[in-house]
Amino acid sequence: MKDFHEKLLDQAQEIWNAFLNHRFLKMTADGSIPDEAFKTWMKQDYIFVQEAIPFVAVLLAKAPIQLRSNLIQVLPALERELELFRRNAATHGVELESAVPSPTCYAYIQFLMTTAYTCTFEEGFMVLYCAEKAYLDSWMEVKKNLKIRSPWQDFIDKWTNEEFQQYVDWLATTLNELAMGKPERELRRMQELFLITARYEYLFWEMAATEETWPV
Amino acid sequence: MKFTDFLWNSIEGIYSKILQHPFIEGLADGSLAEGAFRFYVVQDALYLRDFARGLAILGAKAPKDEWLMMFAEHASGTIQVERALHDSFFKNWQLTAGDVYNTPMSPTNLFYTSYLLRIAYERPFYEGMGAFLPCYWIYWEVGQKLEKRGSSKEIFRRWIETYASEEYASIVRQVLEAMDQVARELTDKQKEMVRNHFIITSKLEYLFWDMGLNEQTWTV
Repeated sequence: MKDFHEKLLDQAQEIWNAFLNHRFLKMTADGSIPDEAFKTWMKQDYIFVQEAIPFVAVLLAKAPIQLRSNLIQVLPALERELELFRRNAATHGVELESAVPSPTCYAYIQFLMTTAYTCTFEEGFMVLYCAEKAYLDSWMEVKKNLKIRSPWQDFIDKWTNEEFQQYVDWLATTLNELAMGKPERELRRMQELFLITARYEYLFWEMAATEETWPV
Repeated sequence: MKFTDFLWNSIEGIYSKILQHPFIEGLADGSLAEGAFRFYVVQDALYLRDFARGLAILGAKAPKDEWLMMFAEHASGTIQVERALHDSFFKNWQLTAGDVYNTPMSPTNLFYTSYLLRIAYERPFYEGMGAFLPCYWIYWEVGQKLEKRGSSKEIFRRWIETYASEEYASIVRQVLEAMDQVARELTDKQKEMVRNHFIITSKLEYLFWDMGLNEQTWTV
């Protein structure tokens, strides 16, 4: 009998394979990623991580009391992620603070915030799990295929280290507990949201690779 | 200058792009593929369900009772318009409620509705108004423009009539009047926030037509 998080991942396998095999990740691993493309990703992900903070904060407001002390740790962790971006921006000459969100980045952020506001805690928590698991798996894929030390090693290390793995494990375990006993209809709704989140994860790499801009 | 005129001036470029968009041109000259129109109307039905809920949230945040009543009426009216789509277009196309509501929201549709709902929940009442205005207003302007040009296709004429009608005009005038009233109390900084939302959702309006023309789906 599979755990709920495993069922979600099984169902999303096609999307997962699509982003694990995305050329952005392949090129980061083999070192051929153009500087400009990676810098674009950095600017967009910086914006995204900034908005992940209110996303988690809204979830915290809705969280059952016993989850608060663990969930609250995510906020300083996200602040530390922002610091990582700033340090790398200084090293690589990237202007982070003036970046404008691309359509995909902006769409993903609105989806996160709307989910946090309009959906149940469980649904929001699951979206958080999906995004973090996608990142763990994506950067593990890069690490696996890495030939030589990357100029972007900090990012590869950040999302594959012991601490991050344990965090994603905690998200999965907690999600499974939250899903227990939930009616079928609610679980189906959660599955829909999981697939949408996974799609946004794929589209984020695509956005970086194509240096997406607003058509209007 | 009225605040709403100031807002409209901010989107002059976006609005002219909308009028020139092949979807809009196609409605006027009848060349729009029926498949694209059908796709758009289905997505619009899905959009309106969330738009109505957004209006209800704005109503809940309204500082004046008359604005609560206005947005509550508009929310209800939106659902009625959405149901009317079923009774006319969807019936013609033999689409059941299941067909329509089991259709996934296209990426642009999800983007637009997520933005509206986020702003409605999170931001002050006056910013919410700024975000919701373009949908009301651009449809009225486009409706009037297309009604003047006429359309060779009956099905397109029916759609245009909804947004060119006097009934719809009075709804839009009501909300524009409310926006101007609210703006009298706002600081320049607050007005700038309103304007930013107004510009973003005007862009999303353009992208919605584009989504319709291209029958946009998720790439994975």
